[in-house]
Amino acid sequence: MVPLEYYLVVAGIIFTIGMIGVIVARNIIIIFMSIELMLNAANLAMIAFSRNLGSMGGHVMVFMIMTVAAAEAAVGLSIIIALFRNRDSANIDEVNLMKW
Amino acid sequence: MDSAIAPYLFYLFSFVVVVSGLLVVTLRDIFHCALFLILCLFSVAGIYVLLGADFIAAVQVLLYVGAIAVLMIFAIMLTAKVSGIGIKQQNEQVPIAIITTVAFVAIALYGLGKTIWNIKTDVAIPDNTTMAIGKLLMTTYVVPFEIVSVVLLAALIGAIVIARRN
Amino acid sequence: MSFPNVDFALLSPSLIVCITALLTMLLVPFLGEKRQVVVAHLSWIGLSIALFAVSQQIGKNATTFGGMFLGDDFSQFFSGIFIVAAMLTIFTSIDYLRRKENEHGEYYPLILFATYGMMVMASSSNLLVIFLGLEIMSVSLYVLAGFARTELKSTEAAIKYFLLGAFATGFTVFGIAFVYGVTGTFDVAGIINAAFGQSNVDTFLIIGSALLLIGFGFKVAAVPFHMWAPDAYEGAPSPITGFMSAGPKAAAFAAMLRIFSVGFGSTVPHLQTLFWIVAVATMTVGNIIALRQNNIKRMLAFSSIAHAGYILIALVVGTGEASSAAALYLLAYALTNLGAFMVIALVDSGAKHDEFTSIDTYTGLARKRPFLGLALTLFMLSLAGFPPTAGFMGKFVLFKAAVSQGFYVLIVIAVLNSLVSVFYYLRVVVKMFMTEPDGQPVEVPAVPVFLMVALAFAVAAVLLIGVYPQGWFNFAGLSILGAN
Repeated sequence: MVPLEYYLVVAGIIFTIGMIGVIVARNIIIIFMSIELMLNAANLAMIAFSRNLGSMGGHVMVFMIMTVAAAEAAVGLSIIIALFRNRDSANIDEVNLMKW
Repeated sequence: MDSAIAPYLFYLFSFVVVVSGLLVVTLRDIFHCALFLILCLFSVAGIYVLLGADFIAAVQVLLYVGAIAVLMIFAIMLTAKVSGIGIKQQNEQVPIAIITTVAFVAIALYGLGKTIWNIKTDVAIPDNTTMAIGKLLMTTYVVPFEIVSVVLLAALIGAIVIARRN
Repeated sequence: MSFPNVDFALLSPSLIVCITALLTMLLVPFLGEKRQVVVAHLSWIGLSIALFAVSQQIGKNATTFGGMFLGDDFSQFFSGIFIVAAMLTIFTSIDYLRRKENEHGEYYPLILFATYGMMVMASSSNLLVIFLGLEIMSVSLYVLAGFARTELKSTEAAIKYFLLGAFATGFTVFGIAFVYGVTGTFDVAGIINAAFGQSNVDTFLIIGSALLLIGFGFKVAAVPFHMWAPDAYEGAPSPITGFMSAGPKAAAFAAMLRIFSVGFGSTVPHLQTLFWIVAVATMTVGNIIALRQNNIKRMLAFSSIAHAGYILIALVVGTGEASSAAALYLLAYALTNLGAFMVIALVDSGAKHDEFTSIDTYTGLARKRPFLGLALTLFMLSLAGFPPTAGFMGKFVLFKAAVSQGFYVLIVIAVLNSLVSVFYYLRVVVKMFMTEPDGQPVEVPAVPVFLMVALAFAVAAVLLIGVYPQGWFNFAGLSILGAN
């Protein structure tokens, strides 16, 4: 049986990769993908904890997080499309009408 | 899943998750990024199976791989002008990222070494997690289950309002 | 396993808000383009019924759904703040949207959904439910921030608000995962028990709490997670900026007080130090950058960051008295800021785009329109913390609670910060009383009747809390004690 720590290390690595992606990416859609990576890391940690604790609460939470992620994706991508219509770019550097 | 090959599968899936995750944030062509994101999310579903979370693994494939990733590819197609090959995808905040990452990893490793986990191995999660989750959603977690529908509704209206043409 | 008991009376305030949102949303397509304003009126009527329902639940301090949904006075007090904030925002928006030629009825159901999310956040001590409430609120607000979707600034505000908000969600969820992993529960009371039960508090509980703090820090715009606030505040439609500064801030603080202050915060070491640093950094950075702003919405964004810093003092102190002081402060701040944004929205609506948000626009306003000028002066004085306004009373009780626990250095820094803030608030007041410059004068529209009612209410409330705080403070004090 793979110990809990291994799963947590994987979750930590994905979370960190996602965090780096949000900070360094230029394209809004890539920033958004990185955020999805962070959420996946949290979900993975939650499921690993859930097995460790022998409790199903974590599974319910993950189910909710996935639903919320889908909702956020719908709203976020529609905002990106609205922005694109206004200025023909999906790069965060060019979203600079106001000081970033 | 507690068979002999489980650890090897775990290493395989973890390797794919980490490598494809790295590719998502480093590749230049945004369309390739999206494809590697799908691979990454798919491998996470594999790890869920190893953890005995069959329902969550199925939802992961349906929702993340099936819905969110496709939605992203839609967005990439609709904003196609910027998805060309060779555009540098990183901005100038790389030093900030390095500092944040080092700090975060240091704290996490420190925590990992110090924590005594509240392990209750005598309680195993049920074989059929779908039924258990269904029961929980209808009893203990009925409030969140109702509330999450409002999240979806608000997002639905919001997405329509903001993306429609005049 | 059995279906939990349901106390519908306790649920009634949030249910009424949610049902109003659903009904008005269904009504939108059946109303013609010219009659979208009906939705606004139905919305505020629904909200006033919900406010009545809240008043009926005060003092009950009951729970329902097996403790998932709390109806204590703490949640009723905050629900009251959210409902009033939503009503005042709707009154401000009716004329604003018409003048900006952006009269789409979906605006009002989205405000109601956001209000519902805030009420859920304040009415649970379960991390899962708090998270879902936070998401309902956030998703609605991302859209509202970008509601003027043909305006570049508005969509930019929406995308920045969205990206940073989703980033914060990542931290919140990871934090919840760690707290759950160490304690095995999402319920704050259960978490306290589990944390106390162990001989040494786990490092991962500290990390989990810190991650939660980062997540909520983004929502209240605490330094260093404040980057989104100025842009989101500047670009969003003015009534929504007012709403964003009042409602979500109060909701996020309600959840933080519930989680950290009356919750498991005290059991986690190092957390108080972390709050101390964040509080000082937040108030100082907010006030200093606000000094340089020329756009009034941007200035109030930094002012709102600074106020978040003051309220964080309550989390440093961590006593029941400090929590009730924070509740009173949030009420005072919400009313004051909503009032200020009524005037700002009115001035802003004089132009179709957003040319009228610079502080120079306000030159001579008090001479031309004495009532508007005096009202904005009152709100600025309240934000700066002059007696006899609500802002003074909020600061007074909060600082008193901190001093009684011996946090002298913190309060000295906070008072110095308040002094700095006087400069930029008074700059607006001075401009308003100056003579109008040559060149084209700014045309401020006549005050529509609903805005007049709302403005009069805000002025009266700010003065009432300032002059007679005792009743409010008793209520706020009671409300926190109920949560313990």
